[in-house]
Amino acid sequence: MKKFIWVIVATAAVVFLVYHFNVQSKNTRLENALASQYSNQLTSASEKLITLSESIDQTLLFQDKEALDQPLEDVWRLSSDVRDSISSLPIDHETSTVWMNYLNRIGNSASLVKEGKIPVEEWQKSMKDARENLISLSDQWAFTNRNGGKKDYIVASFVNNKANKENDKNWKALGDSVKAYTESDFPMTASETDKQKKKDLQHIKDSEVTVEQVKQTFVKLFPELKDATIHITESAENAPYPFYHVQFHKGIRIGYADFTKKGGHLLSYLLERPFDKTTISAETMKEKASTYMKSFGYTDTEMVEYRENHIAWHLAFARVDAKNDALIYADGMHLKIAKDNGELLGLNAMEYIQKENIGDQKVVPIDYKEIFSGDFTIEEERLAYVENKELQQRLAYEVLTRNDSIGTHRTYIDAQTHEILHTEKLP
Amino acid sequence: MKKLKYILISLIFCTASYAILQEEQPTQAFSTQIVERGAYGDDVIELQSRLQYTGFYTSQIDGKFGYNTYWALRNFQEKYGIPVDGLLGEDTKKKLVSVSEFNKEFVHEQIKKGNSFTTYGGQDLEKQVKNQQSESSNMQLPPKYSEKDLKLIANAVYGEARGEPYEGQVAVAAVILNRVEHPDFPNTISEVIFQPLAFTAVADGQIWLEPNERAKEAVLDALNGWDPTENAIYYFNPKTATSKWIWSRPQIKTIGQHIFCA
Repeated sequence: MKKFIWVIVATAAVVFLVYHFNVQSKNTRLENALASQYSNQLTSASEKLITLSESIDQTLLFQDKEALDQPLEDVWRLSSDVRDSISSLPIDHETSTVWMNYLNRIGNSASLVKEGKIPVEEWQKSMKDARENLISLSDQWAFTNRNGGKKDYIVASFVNNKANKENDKNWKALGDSVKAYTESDFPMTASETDKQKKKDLQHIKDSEVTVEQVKQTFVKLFPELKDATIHITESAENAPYPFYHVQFHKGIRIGYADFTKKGGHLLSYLLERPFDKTTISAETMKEKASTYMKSFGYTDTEMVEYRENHIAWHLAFARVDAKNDALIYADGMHLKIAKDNGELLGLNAMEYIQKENIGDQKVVPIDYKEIFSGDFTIEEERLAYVENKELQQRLAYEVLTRNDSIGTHRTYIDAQTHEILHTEKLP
Repeated sequence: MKKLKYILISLIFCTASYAILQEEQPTQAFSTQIVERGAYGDDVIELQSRLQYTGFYTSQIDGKFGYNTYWALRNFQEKYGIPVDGLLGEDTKKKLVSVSEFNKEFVHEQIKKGNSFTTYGGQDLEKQVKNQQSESSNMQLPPKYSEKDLKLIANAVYGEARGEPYEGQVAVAAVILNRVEHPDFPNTISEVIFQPLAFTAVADGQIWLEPNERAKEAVLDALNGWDPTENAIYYFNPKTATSKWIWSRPQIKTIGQHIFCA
């Protein structure tokens, strides 16, 4: 009898443990799902607030009515979009109402400015504070904020808080309210061109190269890796464009290089190794970059940007049109150079391999005073090719404008029609 | 009388030595390198702090030599009659040091703690620490991306591919970015990552793990344009994949444990 009771107790304990484990697993899964959903909601709202503040910045940049039309419309549309996002956020009702009203006022004002019912000067004056408020709110909701990016914080601050207050909330419905949206002004490098240029690699007309030829090219381009262990594979049969994948390993260095099968052009190269704490000067780095570019034969390019990071410099280059010295960003390439000794760590020539077809275009003189607000100073100008909404490469004035409180912007104005093609804020 | 003379000479000597040391000591704080736009590190932190001390720089002290620092430096050079080139060279360093103070310990401590702070001259430094956090990583990104993007993708890469080779980690980050550009996927990074059933790390909670420096570096390379996948929008581990559909996707290449597909 005693034995029987023990069996029952043991069975009950096992059943309880299994049940408990199941419930715990379900709770964890639910917690993960809700935390993901809320992180998405908060991050999306944060991203949209930044986009909205950038659009507001653009309304401060211009005084020309036509140039102002698009950013004002963006503000009107985005403020409505962000309002929708905020309404579904797991924050208390009072806070969301205050912010929704605030955004409503911004959107309505933008619409009235566009219709000419509010003077542009008045709008520009009031928006200087508004943009600060939006950035500050965005920071609070960002995935990167102090406790953000941690599941416990999301769960404790939003999931539990909201679940306790509104048990009957339909969680699934929350995710549906955040709509994907497209901005009218993509920054330069986010262009569709990048993607299209990758796809266009399938149309390369050059003749195919063999594995042995690729190996020779690799050793010629990277002579310091001639003794490396090299393993070359071909792209899978269904790959959008055929290429060779070269994996190498030499001592502390490990990496890859991809070459097109047609023509054996270098697509990209990346190397990983440990780093010393020493740092070469920016001057030395630039000299080395120039030497690398010459040795690879990329002599028609100009360095347009470089950024120092903790182990390497990242450099961006653009091809230069010999006719008019204009930059062709769509024919860009990138280098990664080690800070400790200037070694080439990476090269990305995917967009450079096939050159853009550039047509002739008139250059009509422009008066920047008619376009830009008086609060901005024109600091630099040059010519550059960028794509318009129809994805055509257009010769444009590239203008660097500066305002100490609002920031530095780079604007591209069609050199013939004077249409604003792109505007981006620079860090 | 003779004693007094010795005391006077000693005093003059000490004062002169002190003045010389005062003059020389701070210039040693900057490194000997010429610093320019695009740079990052301790020299830039000191430059921003000193420019802020003198009222020329009003933005965040983050060690990143961007346009705000550049214009502030040019304004400083113009005011003090130094050739206006936006470069932190020897003459500019000397002038900065002579007209400003820099409390290295205080500034680096605030940055380490992630505090929001300023270093304006004539005000108590402790009172310039604001009760809010400032967010700044040690990475400089292309203009189209934010530190929020970097953090989010690094979490995804670490959760999905921390055991993979470096190339494989860059590849996972590139797939996320390719999806943002692809018409079949959402248009923002967060929506791509948190799209239901898109990434295992989101479903099993591994996305919440703190990413290491290697994952962040891999994301940085992807944000700068590297795409080892040659334009893939899917990937899977053939040993663990349960979906039959994923095998129907056109495969591009294998990196580590993952097969990347179009």
